[in-house]
Amino acid sequence: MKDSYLHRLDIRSKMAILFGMLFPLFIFSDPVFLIALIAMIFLAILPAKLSLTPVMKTMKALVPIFLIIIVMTCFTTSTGHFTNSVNKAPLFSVFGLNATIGGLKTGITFFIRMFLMILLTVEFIATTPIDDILQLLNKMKASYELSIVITTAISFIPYLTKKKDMIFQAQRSRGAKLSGKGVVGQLKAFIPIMVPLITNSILMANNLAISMMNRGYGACSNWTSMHDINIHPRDCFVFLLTGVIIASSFILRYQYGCGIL
Amino acid sequence: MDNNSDIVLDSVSYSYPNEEKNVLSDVSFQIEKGKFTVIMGRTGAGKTTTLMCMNGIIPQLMEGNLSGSVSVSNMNVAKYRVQTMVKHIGLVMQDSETQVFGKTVEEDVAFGPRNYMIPRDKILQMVDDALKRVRLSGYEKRETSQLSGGERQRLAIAGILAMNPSIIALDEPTSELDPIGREEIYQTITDLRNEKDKTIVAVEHSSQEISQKADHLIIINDGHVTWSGIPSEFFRDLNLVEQNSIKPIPVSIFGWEFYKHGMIEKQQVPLTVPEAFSLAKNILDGKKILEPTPAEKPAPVQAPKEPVLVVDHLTYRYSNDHVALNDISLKINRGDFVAIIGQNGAGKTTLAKHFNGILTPTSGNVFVCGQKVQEKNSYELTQYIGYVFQNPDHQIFCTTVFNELAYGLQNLGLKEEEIKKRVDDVLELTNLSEYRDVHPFSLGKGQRQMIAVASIIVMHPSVLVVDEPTTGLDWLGINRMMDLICKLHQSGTTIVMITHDMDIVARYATRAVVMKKGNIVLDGATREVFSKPDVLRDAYVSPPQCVELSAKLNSLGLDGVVLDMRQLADMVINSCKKERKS
Repeated sequence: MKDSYLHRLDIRSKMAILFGMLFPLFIFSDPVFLIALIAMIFLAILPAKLSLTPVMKTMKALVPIFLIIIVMTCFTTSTGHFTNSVNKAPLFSVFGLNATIGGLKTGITFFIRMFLMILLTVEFIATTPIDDILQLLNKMKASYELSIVITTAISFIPYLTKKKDMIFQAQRSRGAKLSGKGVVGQLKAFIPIMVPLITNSILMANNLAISMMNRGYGACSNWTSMHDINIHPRDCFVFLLTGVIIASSFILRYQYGCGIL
Repeated sequence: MDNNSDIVLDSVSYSYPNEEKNVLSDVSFQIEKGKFTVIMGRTGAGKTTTLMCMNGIIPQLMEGNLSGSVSVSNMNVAKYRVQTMVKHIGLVMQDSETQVFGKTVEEDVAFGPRNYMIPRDKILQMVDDALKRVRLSGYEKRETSQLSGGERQRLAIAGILAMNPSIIALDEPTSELDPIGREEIYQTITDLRNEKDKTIVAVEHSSQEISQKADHLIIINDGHVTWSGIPSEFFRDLNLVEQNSIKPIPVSIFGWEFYKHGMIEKQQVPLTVPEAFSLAKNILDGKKILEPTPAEKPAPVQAPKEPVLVVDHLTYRYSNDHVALNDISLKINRGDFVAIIGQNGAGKTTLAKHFNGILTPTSGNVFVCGQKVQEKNSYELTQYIGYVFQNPDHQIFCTTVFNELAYGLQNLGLKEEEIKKRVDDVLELTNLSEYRDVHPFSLGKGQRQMIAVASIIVMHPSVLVVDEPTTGLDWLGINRMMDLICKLHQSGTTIVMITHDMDIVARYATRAVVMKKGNIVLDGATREVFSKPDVLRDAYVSPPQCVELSAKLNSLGLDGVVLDMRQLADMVINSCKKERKS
């Protein structure tokens, strides 16, 4: 895992700032305000040189859904709750249906909210080691079995992928046709892959249970934690920043009525 | 109770739940403190079950009917939790994949001590110490999924050592490993033996290494202890070895011939190459081996040398640009029995996977029976070339053995009668007829391996590729498998076999191809290949005992290499007789 000031933050302060960003995201509905928020977020994370590829990948897959949402809100948003009369003005009309400026803005707002949620969660996970998450669970008094389940599941993914490839190759060389016609045919074609994969997983689970017993699993009601999470001065700064963001957006929104359509 | 005994089993019987047959019946033995004991026996004889009784996994995790008493470190196992017992007796299982469950090496070793709430600093010390003992220091932060087979098995041992048990039990620690991995594990066992007061128990198949290292040998067959004593005594008695279906040590076959002729005592049967050589020297008593070296095994079909498998300038590069195969050209003729040998990672399996189009070459071509492999679907090629994978459980998915075999034929669109006839023929050939309507998973490992082979040969391929067909099988299973492959070879099928077992190569293959780092470094008749020790050493292939012995006997007049121990013994015996006559 790479290292940056985001990686070094404590998981708790990272959770706080995540919430601090989500709060204005949901109370403001004017895209202009949200674009300002995007700018702030990018200003905060870009110097950490995080890769944006995973975010873009997820975004790409969602493009059709974004388009549908924007088109739908354009036409269907009721103009009644717009406080600003500009937003009630029609943009254009097709087959007697009116698209409004406010509708378009609402669509863009939805789009930005989804984009930021994806961006924030992906980067949160990318900068947080799994050990931190497990330790947080531990601090929250979750049972230690849960963290064992999570770590074991994660460490077995590469093995199962390897198994799947081997099964695939073994079945192909004995003449399996691994593509079929129609939905039923497709499902049928996957039986030769799925059955050995499931039987192998069951065998693995059984062996795993024995191996865990061999290492004394369940000897005590808890286990030694090998990892600490610590609050540093930088984390206090982040908490403070979160408080400022939340308070100021609250005042802007409810005292001065900014950022609404 | 004898105070010197660390483990005492007293008339232990056990049967799995819902099964009437006893896996263990009336097993009694004692294992001495500080000694290295090996338990051998056929697959399914009850060896693993015995080990699992020792720490209470049976019957605490795996239920069933257990009677008799097991005592470990003077503790009655029935009275303690498994978690308490494992502090005294650590059990390393056979399958290293499911024993390693940490993401990094360090995390994995720490798993055991963490369960006992040992303080963190102490755990880190224990991890350090355990890794040192299996020579994995410096691997702490490595990801476990990146380890080699031998490294992973050593890590599994470290995970047990970290709990500091006084007894270590290992279940077939080397059976799935390549020769280098095995060497690593034997080194680890030797290191552990040098520690004071460590009792080691191992279940093993391979006999060559064991005979020299173990203090005590216990043979279990069909749930009974059939023999117990000093290993060398057992391995010198070939009758005993055969009765118990254990793989004999090759040089003991050489010596046994002299014993049969009354020329030596049983205690003189050699177990190592130097012993065999000095025996031969004594017997010849200054005479020379004058017998001519017998001819190579002839090819079964005396057809014109027609190539069935042609590899033409094949290069394969992984996505990370690592070159796995480097411009390989190879011609395999009809009726050949080719063994592809070399270290793990030399490219053997990668090469073979191009033969039926599982992998697509980066450049170059592969032709099977005149068909260009890249242009065909895998299932269209099954009539020309069959590929048997190492693990049968990766392909078994039907509810009966018959359906399992019929599956490929149905995909070819054959008529039902034809399918039935072919399947029944193959069931007959593979001795599986009685299991025709049985669920494949209810059968043993050897039989499942047979099913995997049967499901391929039922397609009647001209070329059969077998990838480590004997790995993990016991001696009986190995012989059955090789008999079948021989039968197929004699009926005209071309065989390409990937294997680490050099005794098998020497005995069966007519041609050997040695690979190293994606290149073919040697290709020729098996005997010629084995007479080039320098190239073999360079490719990390250690020749079988018959080759080593032949090389030594060259100084006594032997010409070239003889691959059959009995033949070699006969030559020595005949040379003696001839001298006497003249």
